[in-house]
Amino acid sequence: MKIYQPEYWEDPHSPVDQAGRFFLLKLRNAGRALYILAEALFWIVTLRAVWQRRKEVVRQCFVCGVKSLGVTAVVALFTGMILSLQAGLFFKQYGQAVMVGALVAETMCREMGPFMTALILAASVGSAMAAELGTMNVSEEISALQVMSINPVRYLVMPRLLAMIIMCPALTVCTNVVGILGGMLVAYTQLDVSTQAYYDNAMRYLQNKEIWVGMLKSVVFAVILTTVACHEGLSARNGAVGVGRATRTAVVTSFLLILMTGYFITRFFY
Amino acid sequence: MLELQNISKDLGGKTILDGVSLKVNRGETLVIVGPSGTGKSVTLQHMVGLLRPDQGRVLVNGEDIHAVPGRDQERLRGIFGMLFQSGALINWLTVFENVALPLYEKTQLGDGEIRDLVQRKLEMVGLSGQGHKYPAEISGGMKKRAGLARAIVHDPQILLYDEPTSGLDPVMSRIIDRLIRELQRELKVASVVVTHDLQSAVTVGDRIAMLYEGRIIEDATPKAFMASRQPFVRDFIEAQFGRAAAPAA
Repeated sequence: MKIYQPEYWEDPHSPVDQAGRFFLLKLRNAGRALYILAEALFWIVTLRAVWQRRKEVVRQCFVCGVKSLGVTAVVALFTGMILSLQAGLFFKQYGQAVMVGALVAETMCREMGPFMTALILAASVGSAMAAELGTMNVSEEISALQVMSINPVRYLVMPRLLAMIIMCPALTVCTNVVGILGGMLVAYTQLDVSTQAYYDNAMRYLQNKEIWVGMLKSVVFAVILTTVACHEGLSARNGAVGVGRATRTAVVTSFLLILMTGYFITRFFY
Repeated sequence: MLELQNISKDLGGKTILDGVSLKVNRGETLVIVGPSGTGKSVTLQHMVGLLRPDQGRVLVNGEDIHAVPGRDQERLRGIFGMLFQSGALINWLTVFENVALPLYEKTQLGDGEIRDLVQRKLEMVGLSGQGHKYPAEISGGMKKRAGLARAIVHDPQILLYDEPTSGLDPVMSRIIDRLIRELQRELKVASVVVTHDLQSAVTVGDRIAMLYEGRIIEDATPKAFMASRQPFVRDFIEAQFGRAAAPAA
């Protein structure tokens, strides 16, 4: 891992100066985050490093996946129910309530499933990653690793990234299924759509492309939120305040990037 | 063995180090003292390559640690062991796993060899039987000793100590001092100790250097240091021991 020297800038002289510095700072952070990502991907491709850190990869899979399953399932259930209710009431006016299955299934698999899963993971696991690495940074544990010639990206970032790349799509599949079932529950109890009709419509209109685009999104979101969280954590300075700032920045930046990237991926494929 | 040649470093528009030159030989302990914020820890970070100097060179066995390629820099870092101020133990690993970490990551030793080696080092620092505990379950002094065991587990040639007695009670401070001295005798390493605890400096040091406003203003044996006529050195000594108790210049 490249060791970045601490930087201290003089106070800005004017608003233009301030804006320029803000832009340069964001650009520099993006560059550093991409550097960390490239290095972590290199270690993932170098399978030996993955094998050496397999226990940590499994532990991170448990943290990312199993521990997030409950909250993801609840959010997915209600997302599906809301979608079904909103769309169903509209469709019902035209006697097309049966179409609600198609809408819920397509929306969940292509948009809401990956999006909601990534947001939950960014808020829970991403923030925890930033806080954990940030605390390690301010308590000199990262420096200790560097002195021991242990690459922090290989040791800390690589297992987290790999675990997230594995678990985010897996959780997305769960989100999709639970969301569609939530929609089915509302359709059956409040829209008078039989479960068979709901299922048939969902399957008829849901295409493979929807599922794969959703899976692609979930992988991209996993990479984004892990990279942002790890970069912010590894850049944390100034004790507890710095860790708090890193955590907040990680969550906000992940949310924004996930939202924007989601749009562009959909735009690219449709 | 370890030499700093004319090191200068600015941080935030402030000169932290201004032409610092120091040399430590094999089997020698150099203590760097000085008030807080004078760049003692920054000096240590330059020694191990965590910070790059604006000017000057850091020579480790004759090689400039900042000029060599990455792989060689890694090799040179392997010469060092460092005890951090807080111990810097990885929180989710036990004391045993922390000490074993550099061996698991950087060597091809088998589990049995690593276990024996770690047990031996834990015994050296008086932590045998404590290896199963997590950092959160042990005291500050034990954390420092565990950090020390980790620093020496790969038999380094140079040991760096960043404030080894800070935050410890006087009894534990003297225990750590004694440990540093014992390790010095047993391992025959070059040691650099950064501290503002003058009593500790006199106990463990073969030479004491005082860093003040980014410059080395005194570099002498403990006896000569305590008798120094430098006004800032006198102030520092008297601030710690009191005017009456401080040895006369």
